[in-house]
Amino acid sequence: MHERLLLVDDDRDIREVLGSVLVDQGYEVRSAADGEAALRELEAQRPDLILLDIRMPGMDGIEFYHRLRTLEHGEVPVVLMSAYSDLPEIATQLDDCPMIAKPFGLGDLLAVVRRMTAHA
Amino acid sequence: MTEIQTILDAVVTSVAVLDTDGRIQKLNERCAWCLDSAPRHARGQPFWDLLPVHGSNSAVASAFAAFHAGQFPVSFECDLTATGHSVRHVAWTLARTPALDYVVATGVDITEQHHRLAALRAREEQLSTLVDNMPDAVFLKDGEGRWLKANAAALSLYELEGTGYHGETEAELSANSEFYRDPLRVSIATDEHAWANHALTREQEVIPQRDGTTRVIDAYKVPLFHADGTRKALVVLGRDISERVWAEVALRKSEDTLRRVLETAPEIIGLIDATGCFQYINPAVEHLTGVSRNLIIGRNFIGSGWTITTPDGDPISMDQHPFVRARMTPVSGIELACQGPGGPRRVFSFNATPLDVPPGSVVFAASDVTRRNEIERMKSDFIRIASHELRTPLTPLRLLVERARTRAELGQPIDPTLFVSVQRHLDRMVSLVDEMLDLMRLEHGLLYVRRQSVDLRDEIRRVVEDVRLGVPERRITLVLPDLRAPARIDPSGIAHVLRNLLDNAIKYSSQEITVTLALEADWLRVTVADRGPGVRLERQPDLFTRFSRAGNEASSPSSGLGLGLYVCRLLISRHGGEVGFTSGQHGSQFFFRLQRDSLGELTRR
Repeated sequence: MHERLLLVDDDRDIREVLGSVLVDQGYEVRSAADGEAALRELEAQRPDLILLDIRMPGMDGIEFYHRLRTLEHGEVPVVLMSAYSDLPEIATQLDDCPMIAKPFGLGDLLAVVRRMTAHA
Repeated sequence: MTEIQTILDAVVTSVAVLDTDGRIQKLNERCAWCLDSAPRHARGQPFWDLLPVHGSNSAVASAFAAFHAGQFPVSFECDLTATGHSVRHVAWTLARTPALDYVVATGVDITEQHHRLAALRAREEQLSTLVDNMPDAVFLKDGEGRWLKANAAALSLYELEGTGYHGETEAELSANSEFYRDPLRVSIATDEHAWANHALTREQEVIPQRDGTTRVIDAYKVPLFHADGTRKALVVLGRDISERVWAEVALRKSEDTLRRVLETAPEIIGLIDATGCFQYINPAVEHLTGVSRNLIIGRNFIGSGWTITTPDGDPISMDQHPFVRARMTPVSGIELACQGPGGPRRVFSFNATPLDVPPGSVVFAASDVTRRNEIERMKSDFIRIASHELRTPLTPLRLLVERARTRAELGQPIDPTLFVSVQRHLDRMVSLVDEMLDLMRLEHGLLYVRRQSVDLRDEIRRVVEDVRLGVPERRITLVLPDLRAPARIDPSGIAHVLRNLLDNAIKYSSQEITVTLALEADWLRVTVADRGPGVRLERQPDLFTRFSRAGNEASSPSSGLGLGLYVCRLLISRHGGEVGFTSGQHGSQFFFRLQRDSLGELTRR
């Protein structure tokens, strides 16, 4: 069975490229453009891993993370991805959430995704 | 012993009866004692031979001569020593009896008077020495104002050294002194004040000097009166207080300078006494905190309605307060947020230092760093956002290129649309970099406005058509006047502004956008109206400032550096125009206006 990934990023280019790269690797990928859309996706299906951007219009990644953790089945693993230089500090405040700094390479991305989905 | 002899012996005055040759016929006991001789031995002896003369005998010699010349009465003084006694000073008078047959000599012992006089002379000499050497000027004048005595300091006041001042009045002295006439006359007037006052009178007299300066004399005048109330003498003591007066003037000037500096200073400067009360605070406090100085001076810095916290709003304890810490040691750069009663909250950087006098007091300066801190925060936010925005489009770019390389290495075909995507990401990067460079160039005055005479309708039409190509799904309505809209502008700059306003409208709304060009009396007004949700109220005040979007990044959709409107404002102000906006629930209208080129209108119509 394919691992299910939820990709949350407001940047359409990133969603497209990242999505197609991960699909190539055999993952089942759904995507959302902001926090609200991501919460709706969660209602439909529970993913094995969420790749979460921080800076998004409307509900941003930080708010989404907090909302996610209050949900009944909200213990889904999350990987933060952001171009913010202070991403490590943000991750510290979000339960030392795993992270990957933009712009990341294919190898970095697949390594973290494989590691996190293997845990799940 | 005759009766006369008994009477004579009872008299304390020395008495002797001489014959015309000077031989003693009779003498009393006192006289015999004086002449250091027994009465019986003295009788028949020449009076002159019995005078035991001490020291100079010139007085005796001239008296002797006068006696023999018959120039009566003969008076002289001489010192006599009776055996076993101290020297006596005796004043003699020799008178001839009316019958001219004998001479009566009487001698009065004036030793005591003599000593008293000598002591008086010595005292007078001491006093005179003292007065002459006093640094203060001393005058003694008689009841008519004639100078009896003036010491060296007094004479130097009017350059009267070496002149005969004695017995002269100031009116007489001023007749010979053109230069000191006025001060001498002033002195006459102040003397009269003292006489009228009947007591010690103190006045300041100003005496000009030849070098152009002046001397200020603090004059004490004491009038002395006879028992019948007539004027006896006036004692004047004049102390030169010029240095003190000029020091006071210099101090007042320096205080005045300091006061002006304090009143001009843009920082708050104040003085707090040992009890914590404001002794002084400069006017800067009023416009920086909105609190009147009257509500501060004399009150304690604790209480009085002030809220003092850290810049982050946390309360501070008293021992952290700069005014408290500065009592022990100087402090600097302590930032605190302060809010006075009814005033705005502002952040100040405090320097404070203890003063020796009065003990326990503290002087402090506080500069308003609210704006500086805001700018610093906005700058650091801007750098955070700018780096975020520049790195974000690199992510898909990097993934696309890596995937293409992998495929190429595996000999697999590469989808040509990949290059289209790469191209698009590169374009996005280029426009972001351009945006930053535009800003930097604008700020350094390097982006010159190259004006041309144009019909603004043509420029607007061109930009709108261009934008429509990029977003064919959006409806953009263009409303242009029938008349020409001549303007002298830099077409590329104005196109940049219009494109920016249109991009924003497209980004923040989803419905129809209307671009309108209106002709006003002196202006051409271009409006871009959308039907979006409007600009959030809290963002409106600084929408056109630098980093404005950066400062509100949490609530804004990403993409762009948030410099767009700031750059627009710079460009339009370079053209001498204005930008602005109105915004409500049913959409926003962003506009700019440029000067209508009336000359172009005339020549080209």
